Amino acid sequence: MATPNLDALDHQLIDLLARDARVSNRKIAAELGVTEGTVRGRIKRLQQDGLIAFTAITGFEMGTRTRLAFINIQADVDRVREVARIIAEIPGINAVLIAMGQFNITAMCLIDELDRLVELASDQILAIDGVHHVETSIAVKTVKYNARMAKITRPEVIDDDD
Amino acid sequence: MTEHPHSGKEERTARRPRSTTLDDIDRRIIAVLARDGRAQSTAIGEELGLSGNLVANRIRAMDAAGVMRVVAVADFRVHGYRMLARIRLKVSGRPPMEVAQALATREHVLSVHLTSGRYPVSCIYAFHNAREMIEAARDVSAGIAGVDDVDVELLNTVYRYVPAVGPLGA
Repeated sequence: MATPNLDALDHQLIDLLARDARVSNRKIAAELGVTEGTVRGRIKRLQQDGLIAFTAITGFEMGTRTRLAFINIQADVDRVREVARIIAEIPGINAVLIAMGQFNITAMCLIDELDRLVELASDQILAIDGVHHVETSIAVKTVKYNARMAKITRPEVIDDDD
Repeated sequence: MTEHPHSGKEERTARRPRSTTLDDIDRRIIAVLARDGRAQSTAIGEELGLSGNLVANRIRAMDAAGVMRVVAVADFRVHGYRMLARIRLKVSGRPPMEVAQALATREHVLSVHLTSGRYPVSCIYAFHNAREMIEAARDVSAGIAGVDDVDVELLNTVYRYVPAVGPLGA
């Protein structure tokens, strides 16, 4: 997990985009005193390096029944990566992380119905070979959530060597 | 912003019925933005068979109503962080909400949730190095009143992380 090489211009660019993700290249160029081509090239490079991504988020806890849920998993130590890869492919699973603690995999998902969580946790995840124990927890209230920062994964991470 | 008193029929008839409900056009626009948040309104319009103006207006309206927002998500390495941990807390003699709020004021805490189950408070904490992580774990249990027990899990390889949905505003 190397620290990326970013210069002052990259950081200024990221700051501007954090304030308004849809600001035009032309405006950014004018503000930073560079050409539109430079802005376009820099953004493309940051995206390719998995350092920045642009996406639409819709609200939860906005009068909807959608809730964030955590599924904590104890899997066979020598099959953790394999199991994590299988879970990452399940539709509806938003995040899969390898944890070092009580559980060795943690997954996050968004659910509208309790049934859906049971289906994911018990019917799908607990049924995977190598999974011993599954525990679920629902985020009843979100006190803080920084949507502007995340671990950006690229497809090749899923093919990461064991 | 200039007013357009004679805006086209399309804009009028396709106006969203209520500011907080999403219709089919909104959902199709969101689907494109989820894939490419910086897609230009005209390009989205071409893909969906809508005018660029309509797309731009819808995006603006959804943003203003707080139902959808396009965000630039920076990898946590951009901010110099090298490690992520989930810290879960058991709380007693104090409402978990107060503990969650105390935790939320900490700069390196990325998210805080009140959760069902054994640990009423759960957060994601980012660190620049291992020493910071050890200090944070100690500091959370000693520095926040009501914290009974702390469970720290280092989050290692990430297989998938789609921040597609998040609470907006606040």
